[in-house]
Amino acid sequence: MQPDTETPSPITLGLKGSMTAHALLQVPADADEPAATRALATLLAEDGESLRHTPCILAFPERTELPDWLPDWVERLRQEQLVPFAVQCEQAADRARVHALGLADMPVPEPSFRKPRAAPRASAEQPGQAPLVIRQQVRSGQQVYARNQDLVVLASVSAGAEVMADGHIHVYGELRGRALAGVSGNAAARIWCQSLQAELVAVAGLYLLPEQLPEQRQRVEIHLQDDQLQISGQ
Amino acid sequence: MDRFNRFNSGETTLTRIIVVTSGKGGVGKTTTSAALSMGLARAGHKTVVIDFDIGLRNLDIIMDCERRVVFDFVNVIQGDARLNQALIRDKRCELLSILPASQTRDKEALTREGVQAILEELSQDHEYIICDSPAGIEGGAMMAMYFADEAIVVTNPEVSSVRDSDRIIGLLQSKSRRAENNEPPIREHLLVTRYDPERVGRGDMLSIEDVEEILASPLIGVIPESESVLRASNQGIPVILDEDSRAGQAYVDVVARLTGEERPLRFTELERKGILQRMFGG
Repeated sequence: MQPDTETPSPITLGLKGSMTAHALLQVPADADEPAATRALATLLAEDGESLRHTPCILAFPERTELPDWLPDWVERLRQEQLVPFAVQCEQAADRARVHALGLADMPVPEPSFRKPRAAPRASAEQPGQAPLVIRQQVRSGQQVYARNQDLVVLASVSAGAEVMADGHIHVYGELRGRALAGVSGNAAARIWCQSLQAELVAVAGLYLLPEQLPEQRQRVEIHLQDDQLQISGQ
Repeated sequence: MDRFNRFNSGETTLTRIIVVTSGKGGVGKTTTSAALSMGLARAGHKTVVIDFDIGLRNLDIIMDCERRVVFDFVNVIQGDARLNQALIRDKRCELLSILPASQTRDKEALTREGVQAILEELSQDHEYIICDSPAGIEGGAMMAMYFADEAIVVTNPEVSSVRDSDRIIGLLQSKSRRAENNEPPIREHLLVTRYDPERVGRGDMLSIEDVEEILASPLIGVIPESESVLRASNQGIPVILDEDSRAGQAYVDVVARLTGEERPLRFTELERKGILQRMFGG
């Protein structure tokens, strides 16, 4: 970012963040100045047109500090009509050297080959993820699945309907169909409903059928404890 | 009354396309289609009733016009006849027309484009288009509901019928043209038929309240169980024309509610017969 023009005072300058395209010029760790200069000549011979007048960031990956030939190298780039504007570095001393050259310092990005992300976990362990909210009655034959999140049904779930979630399930109407919480194996998932008239309730694959449901069926909570489905109510 | 841009043609229309559907068979869809279309026409609204039950046509029998069927719905879709040639004008009410189903084809003969073209043409000069859906949730039933603005969901007060109606309401909300185009949803009306307060009192039948609670849809009427329905069907007289029958009177109420009147429910309470009623019949 740089000021566009120098303008007389009553005008305020627009200051906005922006994402712009730039080149990243990487110098291998084992290159000394002559080797880097030869490589630059090769690069310019191949693709000089697209590189000249293009803003670029210099990077010296896998070095403990920036090479002492950095000022000469920056000057050489400018002679070749490249436009270096920043250098990737982390050390305070390196940053000071970069600033002395009139360049910005940029943080070294994390390696791109990150560890594969852990498998998505159910929202019961992931606070902050918005639940899937269903406002209409879930009708017979319909199926609702809240993947990696909780499910909130503000109406009833009809007989013959099926609601599933990787996280918890809340039913604010009558639960007459099937409800399966923690379907990806989250044993901490729970089911809450105002009125339990379900055809089947399950948490993490363990299920109960209507004849196994208790007499108490108003405002109940269903959860797993010691591999047993527990149903508690008020 | 609905006023919206139908079929993306840029024209607004006042025609209401109403599907009579249920999922389950034998609950009274065709009886209802016949009664409501006749009632609407007699109330002064130009109405056409379409039999979508291709291969099992019944509506023409209930409307007493089976001997006048020359061309049918499928002939029109396939271009073998013009719509005017297939429409049968009712002899009792000139504002009512019937588009009969084909008895010899199957439901695959209906194409969405063909049905749309016919509904567009009928929309130009009819106030009400009543689509009599076949039972089930296959192609014919889906075609009958696809272009509808409103739906009358016919339900008997028993568990399997209520469950099938619930399924149909779910399909109305997800598989119709309105749902696919993100337009306002089909307005559904619940019609409970074959209601018998005495059997409800004995616990043999679901009550109106039970049905309403399970389906959570607005009720447009309750038709009492009545022998006059079967008699009317066999004679080819829509039961709404039988002014002595309670079922006929209940259908008159439904027509009034469809056209915006408010009427209290009748025939839903167990009534003690008075001495005059005992002498002269109920």
